[in-house]
Amino acid sequence: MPDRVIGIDLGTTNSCVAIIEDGQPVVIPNTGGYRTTPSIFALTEDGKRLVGHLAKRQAVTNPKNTVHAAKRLIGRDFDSAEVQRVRSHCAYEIVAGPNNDPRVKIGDRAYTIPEISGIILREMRLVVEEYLGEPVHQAVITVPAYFNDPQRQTTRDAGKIAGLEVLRIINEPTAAALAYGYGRTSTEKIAVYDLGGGTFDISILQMGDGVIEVLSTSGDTQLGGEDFDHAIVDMVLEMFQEKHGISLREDLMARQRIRDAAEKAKCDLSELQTAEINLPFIAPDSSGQAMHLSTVIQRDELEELVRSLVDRTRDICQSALDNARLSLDDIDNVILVGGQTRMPLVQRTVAEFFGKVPHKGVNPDEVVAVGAALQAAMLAEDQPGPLLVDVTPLSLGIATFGGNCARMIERNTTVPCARQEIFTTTRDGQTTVKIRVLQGESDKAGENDLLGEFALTGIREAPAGEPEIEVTFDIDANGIVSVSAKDIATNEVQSIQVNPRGTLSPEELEKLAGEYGADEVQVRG
Amino acid sequence: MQPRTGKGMESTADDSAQAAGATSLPEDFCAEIRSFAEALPELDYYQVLGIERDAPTAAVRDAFFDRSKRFHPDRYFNKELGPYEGLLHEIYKRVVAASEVLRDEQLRRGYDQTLPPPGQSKAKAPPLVRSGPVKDAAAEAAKEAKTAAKAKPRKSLRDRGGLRAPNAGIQGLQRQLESSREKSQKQLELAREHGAKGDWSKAAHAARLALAFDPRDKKNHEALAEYLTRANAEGAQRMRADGMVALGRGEEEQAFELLSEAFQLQPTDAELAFKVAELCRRLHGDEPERALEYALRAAELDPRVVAYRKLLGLTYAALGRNAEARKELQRAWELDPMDKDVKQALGSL
Repeated sequence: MPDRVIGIDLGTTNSCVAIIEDGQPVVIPNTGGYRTTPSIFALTEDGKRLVGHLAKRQAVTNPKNTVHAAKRLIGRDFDSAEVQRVRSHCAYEIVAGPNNDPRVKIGDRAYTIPEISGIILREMRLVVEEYLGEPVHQAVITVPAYFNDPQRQTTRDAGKIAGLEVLRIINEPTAAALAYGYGRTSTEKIAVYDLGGGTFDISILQMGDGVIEVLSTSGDTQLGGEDFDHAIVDMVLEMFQEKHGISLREDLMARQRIRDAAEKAKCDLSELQTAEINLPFIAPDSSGQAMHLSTVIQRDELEELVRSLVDRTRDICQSALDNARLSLDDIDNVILVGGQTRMPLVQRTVAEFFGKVPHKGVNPDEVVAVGAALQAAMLAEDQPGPLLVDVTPLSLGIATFGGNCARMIERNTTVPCARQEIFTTTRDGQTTVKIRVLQGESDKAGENDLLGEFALTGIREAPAGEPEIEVTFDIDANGIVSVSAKDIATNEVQSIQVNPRGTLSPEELEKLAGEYGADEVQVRG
Repeated sequence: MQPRTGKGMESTADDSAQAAGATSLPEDFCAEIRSFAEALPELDYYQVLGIERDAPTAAVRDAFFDRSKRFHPDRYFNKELGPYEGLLHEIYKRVVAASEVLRDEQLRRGYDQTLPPPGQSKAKAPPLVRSGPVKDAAAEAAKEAKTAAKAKPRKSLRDRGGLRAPNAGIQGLQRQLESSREKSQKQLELAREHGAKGDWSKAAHAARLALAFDPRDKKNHEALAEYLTRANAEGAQRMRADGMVALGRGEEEQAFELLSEAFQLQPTDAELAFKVAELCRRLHGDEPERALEYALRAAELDPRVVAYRKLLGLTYAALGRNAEARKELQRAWELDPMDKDVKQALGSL
């Protein structure tokens, strides 16, 4: 009997897992009965590993060893602006690894990011194994549509560490559209507005009979609910500083308490007009006396605080529409995905922008996992369902003379696809060309991400500008990029399959997979 | 981790079926894939999608969806594809390309102009290609296997996979070769026609096809080289002209983009390299290394022009590479001892 396959939404703040049972999607709750699990990993003082709700609950007393929002770090360089920003806000220590990758120092070890995400994925795998009573080895995992190749590859590595064969990495908005469109046959154009804990994505899709096609996608991988929380935390810290003349910024425990309270207040303000932040004994003052933090936030105060964040999403929506060459009238329905879309300001902004009330029939916390489970079952279990036709979200190109980038495949091109261009040499007698594969929208090579490189040698000696080097880019249905270069005169060919650097070496990956990926559950019966 | 077990591999009765073709796809679909893939280079986008020239955009989209349901590799994720994996990939890429062009008004109009008028196409009728999902291969294969085991004797390897005809093999290959050569010659003729009219990009396109059909004929290589160089030169000229206009209007960013593109196509134009280097210095003064490559080229291509040497020297100086800067500026001074800027720059080093 073939293995069961599962769909996992690995979120910045919360993760969710689902399977297909008898053609119906089922979200599997964890042992605590919760249908989502916080994406948090912690190491207690006595060396115990905690994941999910247990880890979240002890965060206040153990802020330095509790890791949240690892998704904001995955696949990035340590010295990138994004990682440095996270460093300035989080209580755990982020250090540089040997490959310029960020690692989290907990206890006496520096954990890599795929390892931490792998631990969380493993937790989701165990949730299903517990429910089914049988081992699970295959999954479809979702990522923000705007994730680049290193981020996707590192997520795959995390899956491998968790003991999962990752059948496919699919985009979160596309997964949501699949869950929405499953069972429907209408031909409509929809917009999926996905504002999660750490990232924002907007995708415009064409639904059809048996096919779901992405027309365009855009987003911001540094904009999410956590930024809303930070805005509240900063405001509270400033207010406290003004009132008492003391900064709580360096006090990790106090900050963690404020963070938790801020998140709760934010959620409360989606239902109520007022929320309280009440934290007695927050810190001692200079004379050792206990200080208390107590304040009240109104809904409209919060909206003022985060308005610029929500407005940013509107601009990105416009650019997605422009890329699809559609106008607002062409959109038939808007789907809201991600917990942050519960906020009234967000719902109002979306309704105002698109000129229609968003569709209410999907659960914003679970729809992505359901879509992932559907895709998993359709690929591996012959489950009937609509075909997903997605696009590549970021442009691909090669580095050319003068530090420029020549675009070969435009963003929002349907995949699988192939493109070919002819290039030439820039010096007389040049016999080698270096092909450097870049991903990004800049015209400057240095501002894009380098995915891989190789050299084509044996070019016939000729004056500059004469040789014809045919460069072909090919993206297959799995999103694997292959690049080949051919000297038309000599038929000399070189090619690479671009396996962007995950941040782990193959040996490290094997070792971690062995440690975490082992089977836990015996087959029932 | 356990290997995936595709349902198609569960048939036990007629294992030679799987061994021979190494695929669990139904036989008639395999034949359809083969003939579609073979005909692919000759089919125009309308034929690839199976629609008429005047099909409205919605119909193009529906045709794309129908083809997708049949030829998207994901539909066969769980199946053993063997050699058909590559063929499906090629077919579907072409389907996507056809959809992209024909669903965009502008691109479609441009594409229509490159086609012969309908009815005058010299290509043979396209092969019969169906749309929509393929019937469940696993069920078919299992059924076939059961009946084969019961009634008929085992079919030999040669009777599967299209090697039925007795004179397949060498003669078949020979025919294929001849037909490729014919196609190649046709394209070469077309290329020469376009070339005679001065339509360099159309000529280059046809020459590329000719080369694809017959990569061994030197004439095709020469034709492509000639037409491509001319097409590039034409493109470069246009971009250069546009760039100079932009420069005249003071639109420096625009000019920089156009002129650097033009230089990519014609990397032997010293004056162009010089202009790009100058613009680069003005626009990106904080990144002098970008200008360096261009300045180097200009000076290399024409070592006697003072202005090029001077710019190169100044660029080196901006990068703090004083020894090289001095060398270049010295050279410039030798060429023109009266140039005040050079004397001043040398003095400050």
